[in-house]
Amino acid sequence: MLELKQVGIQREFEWLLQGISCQAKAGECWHVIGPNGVGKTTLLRGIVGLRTIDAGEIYWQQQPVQENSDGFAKSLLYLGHQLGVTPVLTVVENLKHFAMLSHLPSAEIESSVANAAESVGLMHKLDSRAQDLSAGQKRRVGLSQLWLSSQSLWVLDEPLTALDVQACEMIQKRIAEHCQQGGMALVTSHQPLGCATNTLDLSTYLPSTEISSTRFDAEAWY
Amino acid sequence: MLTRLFVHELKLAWFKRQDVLLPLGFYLMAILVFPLGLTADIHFLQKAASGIVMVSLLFAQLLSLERLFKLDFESGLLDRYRTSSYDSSIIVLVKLLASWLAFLLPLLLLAPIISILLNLSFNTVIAMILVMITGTPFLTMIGGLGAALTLRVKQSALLLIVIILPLYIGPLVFMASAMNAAASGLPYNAELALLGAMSILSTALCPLLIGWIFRMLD
Repeated sequence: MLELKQVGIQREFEWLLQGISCQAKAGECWHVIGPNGVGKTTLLRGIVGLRTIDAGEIYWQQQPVQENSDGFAKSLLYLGHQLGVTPVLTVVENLKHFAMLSHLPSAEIESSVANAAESVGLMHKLDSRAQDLSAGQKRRVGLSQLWLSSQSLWVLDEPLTALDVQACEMIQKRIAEHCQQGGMALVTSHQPLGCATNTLDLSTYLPSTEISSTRFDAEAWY
Repeated sequence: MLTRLFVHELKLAWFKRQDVLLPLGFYLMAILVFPLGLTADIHFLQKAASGIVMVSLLFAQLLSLERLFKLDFESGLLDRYRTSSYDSSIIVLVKLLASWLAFLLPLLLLAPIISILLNLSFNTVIAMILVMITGTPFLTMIGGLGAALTLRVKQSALLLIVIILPLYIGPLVFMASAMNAAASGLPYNAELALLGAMSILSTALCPLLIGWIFRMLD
């Protein structure tokens, strides 16, 4: 279970979001929504530990993530806007690298990679360099990590951008499948998500005017 | 996993050959041009050789630094590494060792050509090779520190050189003096030992520091 307790996010001494609390249980897919610039990406990066959160606490399996960072990292798959595809390597080399990062056992790597490539529809492109693929195909290479994952918590930032309708459905189906198997997912998307079981609307966590006065104190101090 | 990552990094170096070859080309050209600009006097060249080789090596290394983490940073792979359960420091260590090897091996292959260009004696060439093997880990590790610090800066090459160059002065002195000693038939064990110690210390510490810098990146 992933639990956010009164989480707040600051940018340049200005509160972006405050008081976010939610509990994501096994089997749930949370759709994180909010207008551009509200801080969706910043929040997700805060949750996965790529930046610090400025208020509140994050609990993973009833323990603060700082105290259990190893266990948290083992169960976490984070895919940001950039999916980590290495342009000069071929599709299959990229996939094998992802499989290794997800702790798949060496014996299973070959079959998992073939399965993942099949699932994202890149079987015929296995030996092409990623840089020679189209934008959508590159995204598919990165998103193949969803089929190469052994992690239970998926944090996906805009996974559906640049994908065609079929691929969008395919990704959503995969997320739904993951949640049915007891995983959980936090997904930002501007498109409706069929697989979502819960919604976290960030526009309800904008800072109140009272709090934003501290921002001026901070600026004076600065 | 570490061997897989190491092979992955070497593959990257192979496919991004231009990034490896540019510093090497620079190194070879600098050594080619120096004698033309100085004098054709063989004895003078033999004396100046150690300085020429080591300064060129230093600049070649500086040229190669900017690329160390840039590709992974831009592709988002660095974020993937940071959120994976592997320790960033271990990943950094493997990456740096791989790029060190990718830099050093072609450098050593060039050694015979350089010995002809600068009319070096056999002893001096052996000293040069030993000095390169013991000294370049330090250059790569410290350079990695600079590359990590300037990761978010666009056009970071100049800033990186300004930060790192002063730190390269120490090894430069020892590298050149080891070669000088060899050229005049003196022992150069002390310099090699010092360079080796610097390299081992930096190999142990720099990946930890770089991992720490990565944790502070936003």
